[in-house]
Amino acid sequence: MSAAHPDSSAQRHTEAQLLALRALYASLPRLECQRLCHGSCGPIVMSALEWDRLAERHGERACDDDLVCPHLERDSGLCGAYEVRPLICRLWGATERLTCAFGCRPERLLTDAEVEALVSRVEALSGGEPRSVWPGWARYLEAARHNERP
Amino acid sequence: MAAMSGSVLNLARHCLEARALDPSSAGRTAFTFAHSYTDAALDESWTYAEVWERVQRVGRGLLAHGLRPGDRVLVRLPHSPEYAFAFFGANVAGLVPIPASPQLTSEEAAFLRADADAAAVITTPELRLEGFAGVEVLADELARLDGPGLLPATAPEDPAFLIYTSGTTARPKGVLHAQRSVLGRALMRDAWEGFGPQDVTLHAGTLNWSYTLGVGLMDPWAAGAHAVLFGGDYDPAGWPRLVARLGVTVFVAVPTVYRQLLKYGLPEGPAALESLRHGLCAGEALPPSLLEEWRERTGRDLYESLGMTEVSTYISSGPATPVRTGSPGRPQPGRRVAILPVEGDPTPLPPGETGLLAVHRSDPGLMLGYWRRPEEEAAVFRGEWFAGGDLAALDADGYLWFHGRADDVIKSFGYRLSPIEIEAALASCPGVAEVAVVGQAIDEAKTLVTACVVRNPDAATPVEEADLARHAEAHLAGYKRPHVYRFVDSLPRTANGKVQRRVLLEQLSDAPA
Repeated sequence: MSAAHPDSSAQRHTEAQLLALRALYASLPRLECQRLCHGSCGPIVMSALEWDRLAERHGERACDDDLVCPHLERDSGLCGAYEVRPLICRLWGATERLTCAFGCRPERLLTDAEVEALVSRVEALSGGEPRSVWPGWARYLEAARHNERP
Repeated sequence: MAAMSGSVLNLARHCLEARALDPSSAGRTAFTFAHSYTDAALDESWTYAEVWERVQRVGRGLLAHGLRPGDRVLVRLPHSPEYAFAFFGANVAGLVPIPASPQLTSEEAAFLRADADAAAVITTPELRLEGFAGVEVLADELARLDGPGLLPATAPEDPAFLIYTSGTTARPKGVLHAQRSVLGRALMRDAWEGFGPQDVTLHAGTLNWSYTLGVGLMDPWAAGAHAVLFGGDYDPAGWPRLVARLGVTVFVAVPTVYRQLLKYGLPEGPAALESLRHGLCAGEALPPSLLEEWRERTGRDLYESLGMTEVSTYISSGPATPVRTGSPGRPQPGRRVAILPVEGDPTPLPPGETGLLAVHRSDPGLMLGYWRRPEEEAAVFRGEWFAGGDLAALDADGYLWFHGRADDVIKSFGYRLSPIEIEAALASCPGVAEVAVVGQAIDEAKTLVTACVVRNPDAATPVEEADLARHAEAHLAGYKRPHVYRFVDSLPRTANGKVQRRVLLEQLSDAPA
């Protein structure tokens, strides 16, 4: 089912984890997108499983200093990795805290509790440390940990 | 609805979601639809994650057609994987699927559609309902079906599916089941089926039947097992090949299929069904001779269960309830079952007395009610109990002895006779292949007990009326012995294998005496 791996890290996860991830995504609301919100495509964070899935198809990419998501196709304003975009992108515009500034709304916004449940499900499914297209993420995370436990 | 009660439960989600999202089980095969007994290349299989993904997509796609939770959806499809995805997809969206047989005539299907006021029909170009103005979804579209919306939460008391049964009335009536029915099924799993995650189950039935939807898919899925269904050309000799090819551990069928399997399909020797742990049967009473032959030739147990469309199965033998020949077993632990007087005050009768078999209204597997049939519904709910018309007695050990349907009871010369009891006695007469007993009214006052016998073609000498009469004399009280014996080539049976006593009576009255 999968294409050749451009990056060996993609093999750390099993087919079963990827199948389960797809089954979970199938429960998420989708928006009739007007393709106006690409200004929001920033230094996103995702589970290790989603990182590997993305990297498998599109390689491991990192933000430039402008912190725009490296998978955004700047000319068209479209996502270059739409099929394998992670949970955070799928939740954009669909939850009470991440409403779309351009008015796209699903039939019902997901509540905080539902979002938390989804995030923890993906984390449990993935295991490992979350990853980000922003190279400073790991350092940021480390600093945050130190702040929590001085 | 769900938000008000605070409690959330959905049948399809309950069966599938946890295993689909758990990486240790997501990739395991949940469902195989075998199109051939022998050719593995024709199998279609899905993992737990794939089934759950597809079921959700179908549900969302149906909602995108403008359907709303509670809307009825007639599933009129051939026996196929699409049938399963349509049924569970509708359920997960809070819609109410109505599983219909593809063998129904257009007129019969149109009756179901109208009676249920179904807003949608899932069908094929060959089976589509003419003149239906609602939402039509074709089987080919199911694989691509999807929608943008969220699946709604459903509550335990919300409707889950509507299943039509011919039952005792002239026109079929809809039995409306709740989402909680899936909790009632858990009691069956432990007491009867014995399914676990390592099992490969094979149900011989087709998906329009609640027996197949339940024991063939819902229960193995809820147990984490691999559920196999078959949809190729029927051949009794094919079952052992399929059992061997897929390593089936539990085979599920009606007694008729077991009978055919033993007669035409089972190779000799202990290796014939090597992977099998036990068999399950329901749908009609298991004749003791069939059970004995099965045990003798396979060395495996065959656990019977008694149920009805309104409650599914609730009395059974199983891994922890040893089989007692002639009894379908004991009430499953967790259920309240009683025998009530046929008429009058619904106070349970003591062990040993025959009456109406009743299930307590608190049973999670009990139907919500009959769809828009208040009178028929009032007739089956008696106080705290649901009594569907089966006659039975419980013995001191809690085993149930079935005495037929209350409306099958033959009232002859002042006696109330159970055809089942008389049939069981005659079935043990040498040379008898099958027997059905009916009451033939010859005038307003007299009803004769008539035994219709199918001779065993392999018997050394054909059984004659005198042999049967002698056998009855030895085994039955005088008032229970048939007055008339008729030899017939076969017994009329429903598609599910149940003897149609009414059809048999009509045939008798048409035939010269």
